Amino acid sequence: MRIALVSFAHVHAQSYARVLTELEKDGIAEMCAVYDDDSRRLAFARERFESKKLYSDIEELARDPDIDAAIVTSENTKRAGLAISLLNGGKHVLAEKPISSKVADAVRMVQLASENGLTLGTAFPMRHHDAPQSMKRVLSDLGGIRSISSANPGRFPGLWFADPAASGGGAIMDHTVHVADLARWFSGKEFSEVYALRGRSVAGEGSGEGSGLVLCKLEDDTPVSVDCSWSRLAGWPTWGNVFVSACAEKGAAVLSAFNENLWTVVQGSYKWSYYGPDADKKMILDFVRAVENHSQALATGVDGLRALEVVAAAYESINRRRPVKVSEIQGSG
Amino acid sequence: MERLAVGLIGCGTLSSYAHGPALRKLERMYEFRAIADIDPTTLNAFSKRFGVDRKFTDYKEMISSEDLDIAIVATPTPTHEEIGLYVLNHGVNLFMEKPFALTLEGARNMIEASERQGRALQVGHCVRFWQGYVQIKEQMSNGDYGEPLLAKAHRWGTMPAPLWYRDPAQSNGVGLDVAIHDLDYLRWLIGEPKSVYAQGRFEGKLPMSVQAVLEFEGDAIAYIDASWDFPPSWRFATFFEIIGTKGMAQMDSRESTTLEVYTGHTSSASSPREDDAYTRQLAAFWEPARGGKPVLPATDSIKSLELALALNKSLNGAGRVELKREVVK
Repeated sequence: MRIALVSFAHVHAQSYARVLTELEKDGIAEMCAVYDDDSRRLAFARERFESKKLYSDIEELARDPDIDAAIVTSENTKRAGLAISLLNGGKHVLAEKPISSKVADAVRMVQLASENGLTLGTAFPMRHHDAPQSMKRVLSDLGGIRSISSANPGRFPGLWFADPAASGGGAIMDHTVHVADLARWFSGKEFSEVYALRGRSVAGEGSGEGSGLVLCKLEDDTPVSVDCSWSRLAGWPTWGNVFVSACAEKGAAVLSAFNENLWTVVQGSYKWSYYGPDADKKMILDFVRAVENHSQALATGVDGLRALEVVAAAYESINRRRPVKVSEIQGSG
Repeated sequence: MERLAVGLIGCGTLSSYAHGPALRKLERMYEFRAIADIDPTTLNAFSKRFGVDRKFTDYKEMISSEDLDIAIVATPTPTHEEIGLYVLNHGVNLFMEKPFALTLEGARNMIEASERQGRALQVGHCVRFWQGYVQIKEQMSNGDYGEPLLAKAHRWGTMPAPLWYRDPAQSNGVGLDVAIHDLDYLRWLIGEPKSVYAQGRFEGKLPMSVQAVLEFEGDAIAYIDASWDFPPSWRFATFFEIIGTKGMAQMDSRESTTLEVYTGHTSSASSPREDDAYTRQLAAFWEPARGGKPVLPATDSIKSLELALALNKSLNGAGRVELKREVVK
């Protein structure tokens, strides 16, 4: 399968490029082209991936008959536009999370993929990480879920992530969706209501919305909390973690997904060095197989849309200073 | 050092692991003179365990006959007001377990009685004496973290065994009973909140878990998570995190165990210490009970009760609750 990597704007593109290089060695998939609208990043791609086709016009790439699929790792606000061009060109798409910065655009992406018979996946690597996968199986034997408390604390990613014009928000836009998606996946239930607070960033001036506390209810009123803050300061030994604690009728499960680390001191500074499962690789493999089998990815475009609705409801709640029903923002801008 | 005579009212679980051992460690300050509990079995077991011979099934009898300096009240919440008022009105200093009272009015009545009688009144907000929490407060005051931006507090456990906890009218659930610890601590650490919003899981009308978010004056926001929903095999756990403009701190009880013990099919993990928070909070009452300055004034603790009641109101469907400043006089 021939896959294009569309934009190196998002930090995760580096990891996906690494995975594609590995899959190429295994003869499973090939990274055949790179698109970027930033000349410096395109120059970087030219240097690093000498033999690949380079595009700065997405319509040209979308017309390239040698490309089967694309991973879209652009800025959040550009993602839907790029994905729509690709879907119109008949390319399968794996969209970085959040699937888009706007609900209406995500709806359009889902519709277009369906109309054109294409696979649209959302990059929710946590669904492919072994610990949450195991947790989902465990929870299925523990009776109804009573409550979920979750957190995805991380470092301030810098770049464009706190610029609403490029990111569509800040920490809430960036980090709510991973754990919101896990809550939906574990419970099999949809979100119904959201209340949220936003906080200033620890990274100081110009870094915008740096923290968020999002309280959600599932359709059966099960409470779900999400801390999506960029709350790991420089000097913290690792980028962050993904925590989900679920209490159920017959027990509880507590996830700390990125706890498998060496505790190292390298060049005088204390760092955690991760040796846990390679969720990114499993996610891209799943996408490749879905495309090959004309089936759905484990996390679909609809899953991406549902998680984005929580984000949109969170921002609406912050503006209105009250809880907001997910139905209030569905079908809106 | 003048030894003050102490009577303990309520010899249940908390007294067995907190007040009983603390009084035994503080022999130089306190004479553990008498105990009272309405249940004779509980009373006799406690008497044997802590070697206190003078025991009463009627606390009023203990107050009138034992010439106490201090009464510690660790009874179910709905009895706090009546017992507290009786203690104070008989000229005895009162150490009242948290939550202060079931209602604001109850707490106000006790404060009035303590002022009228000139007797000390301290509420058992033990977290203010818990070493890790105290150290965070010190480093915050020191400016180590800069201005506070985000705080998070978890207090996760199992449903307490005594049946009165299960009656929402008596315990008010996990919000009033458990979340109040972190509400009180956040008030101490950051200041008075502007708003609170809470959601949770209910068993019938009883809140079993609560997730709450608060906004403070300035830029700080906070998350509080208190639960009774963990299964019996769960080991009680607390977590606290503060993020500021210049630094951060995090502590997790699951990561700070100093002793693990394994016997057959059971195991335990703890961080034992001579100067634990329960001991420190009772030691801190000695000076005020002798007429000195209160270390933790009840006029402050009533604000934590007020906040917990506002949280409960939100939890019960009131949505976002705006908090007025200086409501409690």
